[in-house]
Amino acid sequence: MKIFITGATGFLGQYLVNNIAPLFDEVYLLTRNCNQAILNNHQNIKWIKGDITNQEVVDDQDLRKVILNEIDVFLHAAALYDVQASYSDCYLQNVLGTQNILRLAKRSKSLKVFYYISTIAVGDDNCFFLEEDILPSRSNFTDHYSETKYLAEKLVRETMFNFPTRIIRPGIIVGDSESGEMSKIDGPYYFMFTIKKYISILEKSRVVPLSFNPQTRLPIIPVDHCARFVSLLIQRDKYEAGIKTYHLISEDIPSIKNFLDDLNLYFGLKVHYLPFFKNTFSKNLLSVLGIPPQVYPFMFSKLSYDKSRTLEELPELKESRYGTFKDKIFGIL
Amino acid sequence: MKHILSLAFAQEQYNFDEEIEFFNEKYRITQYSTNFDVKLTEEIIKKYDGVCDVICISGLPPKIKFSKGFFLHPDAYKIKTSAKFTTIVDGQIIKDVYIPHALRLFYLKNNGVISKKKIGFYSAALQKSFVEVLEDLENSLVMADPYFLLKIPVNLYSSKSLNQFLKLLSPVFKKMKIKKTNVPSFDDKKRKMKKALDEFLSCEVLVGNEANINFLDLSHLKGKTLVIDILSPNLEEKLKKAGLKDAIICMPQLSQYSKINYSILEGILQIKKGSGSPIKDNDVIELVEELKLSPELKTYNSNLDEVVTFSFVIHPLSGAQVFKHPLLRFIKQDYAKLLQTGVEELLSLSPGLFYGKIKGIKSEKNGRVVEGLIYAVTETPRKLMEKEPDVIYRKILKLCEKSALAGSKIIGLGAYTKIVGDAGVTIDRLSPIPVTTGNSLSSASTLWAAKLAIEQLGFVSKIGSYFQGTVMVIGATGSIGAVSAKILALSWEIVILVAPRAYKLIELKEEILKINPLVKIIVSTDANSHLSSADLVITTTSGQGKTVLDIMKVKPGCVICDVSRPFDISEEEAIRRPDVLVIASGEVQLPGELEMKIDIGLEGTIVYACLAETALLAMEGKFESFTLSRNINYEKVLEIDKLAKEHGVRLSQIMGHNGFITDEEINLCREHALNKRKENLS
Repeated sequence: MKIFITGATGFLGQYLVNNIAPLFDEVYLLTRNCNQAILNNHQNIKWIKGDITNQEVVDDQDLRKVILNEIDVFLHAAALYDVQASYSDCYLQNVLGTQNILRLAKRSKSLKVFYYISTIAVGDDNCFFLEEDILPSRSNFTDHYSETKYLAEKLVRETMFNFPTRIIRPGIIVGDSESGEMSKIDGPYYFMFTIKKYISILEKSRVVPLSFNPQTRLPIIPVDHCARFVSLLIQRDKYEAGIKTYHLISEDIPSIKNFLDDLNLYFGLKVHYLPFFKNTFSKNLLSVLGIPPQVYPFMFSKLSYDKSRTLEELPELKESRYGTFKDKIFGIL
Repeated sequence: MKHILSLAFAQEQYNFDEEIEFFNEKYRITQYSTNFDVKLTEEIIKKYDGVCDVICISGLPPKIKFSKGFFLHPDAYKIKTSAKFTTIVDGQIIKDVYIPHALRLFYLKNNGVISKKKIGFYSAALQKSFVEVLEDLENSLVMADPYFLLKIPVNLYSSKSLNQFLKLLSPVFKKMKIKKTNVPSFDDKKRKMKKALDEFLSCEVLVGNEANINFLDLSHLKGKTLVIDILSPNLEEKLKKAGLKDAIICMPQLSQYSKINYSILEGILQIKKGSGSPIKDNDVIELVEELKLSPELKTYNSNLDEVVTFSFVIHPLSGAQVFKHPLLRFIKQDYAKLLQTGVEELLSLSPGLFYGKIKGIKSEKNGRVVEGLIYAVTETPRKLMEKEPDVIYRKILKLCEKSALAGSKIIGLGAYTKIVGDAGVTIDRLSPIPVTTGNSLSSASTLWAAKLAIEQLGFVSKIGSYFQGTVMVIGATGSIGAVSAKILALSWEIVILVAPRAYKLIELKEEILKINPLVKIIVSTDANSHLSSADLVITTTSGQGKTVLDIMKVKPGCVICDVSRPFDISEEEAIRRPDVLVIASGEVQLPGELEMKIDIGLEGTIVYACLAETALLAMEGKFESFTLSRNINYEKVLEIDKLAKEHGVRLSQIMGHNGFITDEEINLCREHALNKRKENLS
């Protein structure tokens, strides 16, 4: 069995490769620069030079033939994950890149299944529920990342008749549940770092008004859990036709209020965050404090996430609990 | 396989990468919707430059030409020149050449819809190919460009002022960015400056394209007609929901290839031509001819609650009838007779006038209420035939314009007005609304009358709806004769065709046998030889009063249906055979509770069949010149027959030479015939 992985050099990608490489005879990893020092602990890894934004993706003709004729599983994990990136950058990587990979997959002769890493950000945060097998129709987006990932998932869904398709929507990916290691600041980390930065002020305050919805849940999952679950899904796949969507989100996810309380506990603060309605002033204030304005709408999200299909096929998801890894995550501060 | 990159600049969320077959050639089309992002559009072009065969961009503001020079937005220029190797096309050449052609073509077919109307443009500058041709068709244009582009609530009214406006403000446009948020709302509630927009929104017809309309609130399109270059299924669904009345789509042929738009079509043309040689107007003309492109009218929501009005032109059938006008009723009959000739002469000098209304016609099919406006020209038949056709045309055209102003959607020509000159063709050409002569339903109703008369006399046996008898059509190769023969062949056992030219008869026989191979057809150039076997005789000759058949040879109990005007069978002849029923036509009753205070020469609420045809077309919402000229058409007669049955127009009375034929007269005729048959046997 041979697998082709894009985005292997990314934060999630490295974990994915480590989990998946033992399952396959040959693992082909797409990269823009060939001199990769990382991930050389596996013997069956082959690096392929290419770029998903190029039409043919793989530059070398012979290697392209290998991809087109011998690969059994595609895992498309490459994406530009940055809520602050410009529309055109996001679009080129997420939409155009996905379209090119899909075209490659369509021409691939021995393809058994196509895995695509989407995101739960495709859900409309004005709705209450994101179902697994449905991509809700949506036209208003608050950041370019969500918008382009939404368009890309739409493209993947439109080509579902060509090959069995699996769409994986991970939650907000947080650091390693063992080491707490995290390569990038985003989501809950913004708060962690902002609180750390202003800790001297917060120590003296009792009540701080903060514009957020205390019920909003933080759909997080540690990166190592996410990668393990994806590899389990690939391992258990029976390659039946059609499309399947999985939501990879830990159990007992905290609400923003819980999360802030946990941070209080961690820092030894006694601050009460007074929930405040949505307003432009606090949005601007947050960006002054170092939280990008694109994060702001997520603090009012009403969404909860359907996990029935995922739990059915992946009972191990119940073992990933917020309580078990929260200390590790705070540990990097 | 050729690879086309399509960039939809003004769209979002519509991306695909597919192989399609278009007129026996396969193309791979990769589309990205770049959602007004100039940088992204350029980036993608860079990625594909030299890799694909042609780059097609849609939704960019076009090059706007005016008398001295042109205006092209800097962003649009930047995008269009950003490829080094691959040709970039934007569909503008096809639009410039094809759209005026399509609109002309549409105008020639359905002249009422886009001529002499108030037509609104969301942005005429972005749709210049529409402006000139619609201006030529005598429309008054309302262009909302200042509002659409700059949110200034002012309208422009001619292409000249549009040019001045664009020229004056081009420095401003250059500074503006092309953005989705710059498109203003045409929503009724949010408007601040009402007057100019009210004027725009009062237009019956609006011109827009998908890029214009996609971002607007569509509620203002309710009940309107939209002229659009191309309509994607998505937008079509949205417009249907918004209550759009109908749409004129310039290139409906492309709708079945949902992925192809104007710029991709131009891209395909460019591929065929080979890169390096730019597309010329001639190439587009060839393409239009090759693909047989033509516009189409699609109706989505016809408003059934609205009362539709039609008009009908009549004239006094004799001098005596002039005195039936409400204003002249006070004159006593004795005096009237004396005055008649003079009045006839004097009246014919007066212009046409409004005579009265028929209210309360209600369709049984869709419940639509229609209203008839009856106009009259003042000539009696004698005067109508005497005068030059031109004079009469002018008089009728005045009435056409009058009725168009009164809101009529179609006008019918009654009695002798439809045989003046070329029988309606010229009038239709010059009239603002469609014209019909009503002959199709007249023919149909005459055949209904003949059928009813035959059934009431009861001499011909019937199996199902099939008459076991013989029908003779005299003058069968004429237009009415041929249609009658074809229709009768569907329900009679033997059809005898009589006409002076044998070769035409044989052709007709072949045609009829195609419609009904089971019927037995006898052809003859002499009516009299087969006359004794016919149960029904239809005469439709242009004999101008010459004897076409020897009435003494006719079978007793026969029905002669005399369709010719002047009549083939004179009254004197008819009197000689009381055992033969001579009928002239069938008049009909309209559905609904009619309120009719005027006298149109028939009793009660019975109306002429040609008036009923006009009313039927109004009930069906089929505003087209249905029947014109002296020729009628088999398919049209069948169609109007079907419509009549659906909407509830029914035969009311059989007309003889002198008014209605009553049941007593028919019974009397039957007794005479029975006696005669007994005599013949003994």
